[in-house]
Amino acid sequence: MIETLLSIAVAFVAGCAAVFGSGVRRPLLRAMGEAWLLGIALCAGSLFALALAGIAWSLARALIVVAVVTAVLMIVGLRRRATEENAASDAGDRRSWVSAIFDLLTAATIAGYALLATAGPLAEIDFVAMWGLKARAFWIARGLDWSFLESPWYNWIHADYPPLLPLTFDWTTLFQGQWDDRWLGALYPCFALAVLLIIRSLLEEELGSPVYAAAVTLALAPAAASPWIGIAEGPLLAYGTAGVLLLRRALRDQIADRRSQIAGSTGALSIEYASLFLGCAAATKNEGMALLLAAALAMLVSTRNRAAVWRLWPAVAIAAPWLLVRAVFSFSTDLARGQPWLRVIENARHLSVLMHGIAAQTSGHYLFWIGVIAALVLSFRRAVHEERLVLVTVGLLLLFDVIASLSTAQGVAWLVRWSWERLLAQVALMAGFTAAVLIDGVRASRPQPPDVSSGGLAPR
Amino acid sequence: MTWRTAVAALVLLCLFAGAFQRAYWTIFGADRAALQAWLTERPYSKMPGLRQFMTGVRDHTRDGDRIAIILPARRWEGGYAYGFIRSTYLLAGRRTVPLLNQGDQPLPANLERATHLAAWGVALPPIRGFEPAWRSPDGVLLQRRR
Repeated sequence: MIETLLSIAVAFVAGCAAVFGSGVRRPLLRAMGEAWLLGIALCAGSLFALALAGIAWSLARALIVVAVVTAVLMIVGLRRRATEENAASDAGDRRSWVSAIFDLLTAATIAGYALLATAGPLAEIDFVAMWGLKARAFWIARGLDWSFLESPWYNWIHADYPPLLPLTFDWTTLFQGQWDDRWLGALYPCFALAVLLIIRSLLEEELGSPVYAAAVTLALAPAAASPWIGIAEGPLLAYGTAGVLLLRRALRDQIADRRSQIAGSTGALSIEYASLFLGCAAATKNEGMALLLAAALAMLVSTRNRAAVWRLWPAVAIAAPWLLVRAVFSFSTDLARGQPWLRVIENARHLSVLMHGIAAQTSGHYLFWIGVIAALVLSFRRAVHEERLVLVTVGLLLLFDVIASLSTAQGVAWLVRWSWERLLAQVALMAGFTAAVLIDGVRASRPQPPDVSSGGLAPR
Repeated sequence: MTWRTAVAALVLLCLFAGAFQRAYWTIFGADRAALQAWLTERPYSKMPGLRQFMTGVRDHTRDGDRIAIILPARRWEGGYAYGFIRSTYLLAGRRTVPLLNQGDQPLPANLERATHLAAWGVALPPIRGFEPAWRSPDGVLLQRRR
């Protein structure tokens, strides 16, 4: 356990350097959340780089790579801070005992999740059959085991899936010194906590009410704590939600900067920085790549500015190496094999099965989705004008999921039964956040923030 | 309290109640040892004893060994895939090979190329070219005769 915690601590420190290097001043809570997400991706990325360079993994080699990258990021951060005028954030100074109680309850939820995640060996079948199996094979090979990925006997492992999660397991295993599938579960509460810190901070900054921000964070905490421990849903949920919400924030910051004529202030979040998280989502699972595409299209719809979409290049840069590897080794996606469009047309006859199946998958959390829909209905105009980015992203992602479900060769009913509860969980946090922001407008009748679609990012 | 505040509180309550996961709170009073034992066996629950047997096979083989898996199931989707996938995880580093393809046809060539045979839940007759390397109440590990 100590070794696992050490691997988490090292990843966090590396992430702090990445956050520092971005040169953006933000509240401590958000910085901590971002630091974990970027740090563990950086550590996994270092293993990927070593593997591509043909260098066998060892803890010392991995630490050297991470230390070098961390040092470079620290130097970049120091140079930025020395040359730019800092806009210190004043958020986080308005705590109250009510918000502290909500925050403690959120912490207790995550503590319970952590106990559950580390109660025993990871038992999800997709961990045993895919994510954990890959990580274990890579660990034994001390690198990406190409012959294992290419083996015709293991076609259930989805060799095409991006490797960030298996490499994350391997990062921790390097510290453990042996394969231990119990303590790998400790990574999951870290992902949940990280995205909750980001949500908590964004809500407080935006709505100005620590009590309301803490209450919403408590309500959303179980949605951040993915019950599928050992598979990619937890990290994907964290990276995807963080990416979309930070992108939303970046667009607002840029509009606010242009209005106040202080473009480039260090208080503003950049689109490029926000897109790092979308890139990590794309490096986690194929659905993350779909999310990146959905977010890019949603950005186009929201800003009506094609040039702004190009600023998502860091996300593409993170996702691209694996796409290249995939193409070189011909790791095909099962949904794309054969004639997927013919299957979509054929399965379209079963659309009602799909819709009924999706409705059934919400049954465990139907109150949650009723809350989201109620918030959208009550604030429809605001939702359309101000929350277009998130809503279009969620809508497009669900549309992609529907098309993917119709292209399956395994039967629509089967796929809905085994996939859609997870697919809905992937967008639940984004939807819940948006509902909370919208309903705060109903509650407080507050003045409207800048309209993202109003041309703030339109070409000048 | 205005109606707006009441509606907002109601929506927030829906989000809270809808997302709530009881397990994250009941875990504090749960029997963690029993939970650990259950989680350990859960992926293998349809083939009791498979985990222990394949763990033993792992102890008696080395990375790179090519192990053919023999299971009582005669169909890929009728249990063979279940046992083969789980055996592959437990024997990661070794190369497990199936003796049945996804169309339920036998793959004798894999037997020819195997360095070991791990037979679980099957009474195995003597197989030419192989000799017993290790035995447990659940199965037997054969290795190619040198």
